[in-house]
Amino acid sequence: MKRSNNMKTTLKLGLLVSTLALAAGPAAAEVYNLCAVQTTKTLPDTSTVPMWGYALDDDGDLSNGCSNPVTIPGPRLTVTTGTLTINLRNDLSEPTSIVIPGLPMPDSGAPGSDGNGPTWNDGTAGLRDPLAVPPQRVRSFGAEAAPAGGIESYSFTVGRPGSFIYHSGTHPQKQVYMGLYGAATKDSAAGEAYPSIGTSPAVTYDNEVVLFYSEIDPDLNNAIAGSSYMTSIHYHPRWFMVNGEPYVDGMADITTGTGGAPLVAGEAVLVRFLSAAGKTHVPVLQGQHMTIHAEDGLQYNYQDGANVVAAAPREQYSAMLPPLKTKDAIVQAPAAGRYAVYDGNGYMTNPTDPEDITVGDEVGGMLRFLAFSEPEPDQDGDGVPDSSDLCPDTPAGEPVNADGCSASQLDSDGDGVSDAVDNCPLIANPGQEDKDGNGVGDACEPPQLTSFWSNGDEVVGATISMFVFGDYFDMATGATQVYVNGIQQFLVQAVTTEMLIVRVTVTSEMIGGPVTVTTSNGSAVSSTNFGDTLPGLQITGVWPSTVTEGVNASVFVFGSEFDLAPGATEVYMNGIRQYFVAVVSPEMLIVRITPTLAMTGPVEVRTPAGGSAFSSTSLVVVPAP
Amino acid sequence: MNLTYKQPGRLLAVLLTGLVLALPWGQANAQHDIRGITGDTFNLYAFPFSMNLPEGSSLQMWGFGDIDAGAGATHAEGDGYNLPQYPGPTLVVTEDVPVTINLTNSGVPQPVSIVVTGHNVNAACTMPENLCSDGLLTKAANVGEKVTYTFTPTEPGTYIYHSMDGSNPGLHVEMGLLGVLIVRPSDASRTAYGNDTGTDYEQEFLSLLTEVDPEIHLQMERGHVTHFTNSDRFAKVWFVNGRVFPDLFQGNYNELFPHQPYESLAQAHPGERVLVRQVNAGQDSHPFHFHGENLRFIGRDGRKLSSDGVVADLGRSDNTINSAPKQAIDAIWTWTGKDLGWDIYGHDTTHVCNAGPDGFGDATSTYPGEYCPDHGKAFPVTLPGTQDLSLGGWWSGSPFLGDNGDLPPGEGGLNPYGGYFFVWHSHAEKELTTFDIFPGGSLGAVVVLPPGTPIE
Repeated sequence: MKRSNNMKTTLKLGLLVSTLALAAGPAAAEVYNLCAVQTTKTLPDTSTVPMWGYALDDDGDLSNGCSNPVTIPGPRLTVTTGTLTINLRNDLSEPTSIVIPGLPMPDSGAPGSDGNGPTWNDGTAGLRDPLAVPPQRVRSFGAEAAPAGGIESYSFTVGRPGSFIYHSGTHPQKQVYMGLYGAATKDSAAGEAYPSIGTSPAVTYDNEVVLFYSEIDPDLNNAIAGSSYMTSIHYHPRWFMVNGEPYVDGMADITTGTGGAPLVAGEAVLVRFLSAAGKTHVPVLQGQHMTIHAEDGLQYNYQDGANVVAAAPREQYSAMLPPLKTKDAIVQAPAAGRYAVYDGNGYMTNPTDPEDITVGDEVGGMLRFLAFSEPEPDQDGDGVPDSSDLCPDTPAGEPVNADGCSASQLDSDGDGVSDAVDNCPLIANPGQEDKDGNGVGDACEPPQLTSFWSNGDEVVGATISMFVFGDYFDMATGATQVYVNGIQQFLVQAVTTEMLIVRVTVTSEMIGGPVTVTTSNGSAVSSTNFGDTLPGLQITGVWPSTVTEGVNASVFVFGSEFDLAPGATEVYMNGIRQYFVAVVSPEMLIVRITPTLAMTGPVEVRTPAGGSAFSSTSLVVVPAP
Repeated sequence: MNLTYKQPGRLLAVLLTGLVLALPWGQANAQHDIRGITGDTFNLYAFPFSMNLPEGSSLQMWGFGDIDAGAGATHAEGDGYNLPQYPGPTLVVTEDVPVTINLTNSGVPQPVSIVVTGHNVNAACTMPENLCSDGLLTKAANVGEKVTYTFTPTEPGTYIYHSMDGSNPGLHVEMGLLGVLIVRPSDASRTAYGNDTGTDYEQEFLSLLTEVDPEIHLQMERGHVTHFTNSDRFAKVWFVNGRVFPDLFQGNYNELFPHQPYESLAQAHPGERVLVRQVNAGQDSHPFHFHGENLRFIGRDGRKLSSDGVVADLGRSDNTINSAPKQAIDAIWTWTGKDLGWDIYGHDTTHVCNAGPDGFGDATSTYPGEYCPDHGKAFPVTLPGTQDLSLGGWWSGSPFLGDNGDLPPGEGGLNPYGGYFFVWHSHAEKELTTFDIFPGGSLGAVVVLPPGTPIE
């Protein structure tokens, strides 16, 4: 019987995976339909700023757009296979496209060098024309989705796990600042961010938090939306956001991870840091260190020549994020409480007009609090919280079932012997008898059937007592069932565990089938059939064994089940039929033969019911002198 | 035996370099430890003050000061020092010994608090008659209030403590309410992370980077807490250990800089390992660049870079630390003169070099640590005459280590031991200016001194 103390974790991972899938929309979909849409964002000071963002399609048909709301950052894309396909519909008034730094450029399907870009500002794509006037400048890294409803497809090969940023690959100095970015993530397995490499274990996690950093420069966005944009050189962000919103006084702490599972102290929480901000920011974790395992989907490791020896995770309290950087860290809170994630660069205010002396900056910007709750008490440390643990005080190290009980704590059959050492845990056997010493208690052994014998002929109409010999019969009343050719017998008495007596009134349906004995531990079937009381057609002897060619002889054939009916028993000598056969009894017949040399060989008898039988010895015909 | 002076009378401007008066070789060849205050209980206060910059201006600052006036000073020169300072007192503590910081706000017009990077700090209002307030991240002290912070450092390394509260949480660091916490290993070894971690060192120095936007300080001085928006912050003055070039060479606890007690001139003998605790407590990144030799990273944020958790063996060799705000990096720097190709003691015609197993001069050599394969090799060029040179204050007059040469009156004088100065500076060159004046800013240095020169 297997017990597992991974039950709790397994359940949680299952919950996590399924809720991640729900959050992503189509469960583990590798194809995402997105629309790039103009929108307006309202900021905490009630001002508004134009933005461009991604919306997730709602009905699988991009020709009618996406009626889901735009989110900035864009919808999170979850990848489980090796390919991520994004079908993009462009509802902006200028071309757009998608790239994912860290992954190879996508395939947009069209063959030839023009198909996947780059796309120039004159609208042509592919190799650059060095003679073009005016000179060509790159507009998009890849193929474009045309404005006002154009659709383009991008298939990315996602060859490794990691956290990635998908963003506009068209005039990124405008479009990324306008809000066209989002997270795309891939795990190496469910609940596992990165696989085992070298001598290091895999990076597994119990919960996940995404912290996506970004900025807004309202003047730049207004210039872009109002078509007065010339350059991004004067980019000067004023709003500093985490997951699309600046902190505001009184904002709720982050108490749950992706999918809604609460953050619990002591659990491994995967924090994915991503930044589409234009400035470098340094998230600093208050009060504890985190373990950073990878950046840009590349796991830190150290190597000996070309061989990876082990992972080389970095234990730090700071995670520097230059623009478009991603970092994956495990945070394991040492105790319940609030832990700030603050910006080492100090961008923790929401702006005000410095010329207005009646107002001032308020706390805001890139500040969040992770709030970890107490782990549910688990006094015996068996992985099952006390509120569900039916067996407290589980000894250390013993695996438990979903109820928190280890084998040593359970006595399923109540026989006083705990399941861990009970040789038959589900059937009470306080004496633990095991006469064959195979570790399986006698009470659990399936029955064995060696033979059966009836005290009369097993013929239709007879009422006989059949003795069944074997082992591990269950002596409890009715616990051992006996069947004859499938017909259940009801007058059964178990005399010992090794012998039964069955009172049988023979019917024709019982003839010719085996006897079956069944207990709660299994069944056993006889090797011979009921009604086969005779040993069957056979030759046990031939006399004389030597005859002389041409000299008439009477040969006696001994055996059993010779057929007395006239002509029913045929005799062959070395395959040559003999016709002067007299069946004296089922056990003996006489054959009158005139020997020929060709008759040297085995003797065979055939009957309609018994088939054929050969002698084990040969009759020898010696030549005439 | 007079090794350190070619011209015995040339003792120019010793005080300007902050170096101790020369002693004959054979005296204590002491080692440098970072200046600060030590113990398990620190009583700090927060108070505004004005600080001078080299080009004559002054800045309004907020700083931490030591109420105990240096009773726990690590070095005698810190006795009696009780002014609010920039940076705050460097706290030197020991692994696994619980630490208490009692903070009183004596006059900063905002709630002041202390967070310690990498440590889970408990905060309590312990004095019944002194209230404290619930702050943004922890308990804070308004004017007249006091908070007690307690924590136990469990990992040796370099950390930052700073205030973070109020409507502009980054403002307190901008104004100067910051300092360094150094946790020494519990085995009292002269290592960064403990015995057998591969982090042994001879000299220990702090390199704390900060920067300020003077406009913000101007508004604070006028009491206009809100007359700027933080997204407009633009630093114009850059500091190492709270001072700006050239003040940062001028000795610890120098009365010329009453609120800036720490210098940032590192000193070493050839072959010695220098533990550099590189801390960025400002709000901008700085690429801090080390001339003279590469450094070896051994740890970040108080955690050694290790493949097995025992030895700091995963740090690479580099000449620049990309110092990000609030990150602390530990590195070991060593100058040996190996493969220079000429004898750095060429002025001494009778010195001997007896090579040890590593190729460097052993204890019986005239100059222990000399690279013997270069012994006796001539200086490869002919130096121009003095009249053809423009001379800087740190030119000793001779290319040889420990030698001084003839200089016109008024020239030199800042290098009486004939050492080799290597600048350690931010490689964002505008940060080597103060209000567009070069040299300035975060331009520090290390000086390699001849063997036998006392370093304290």
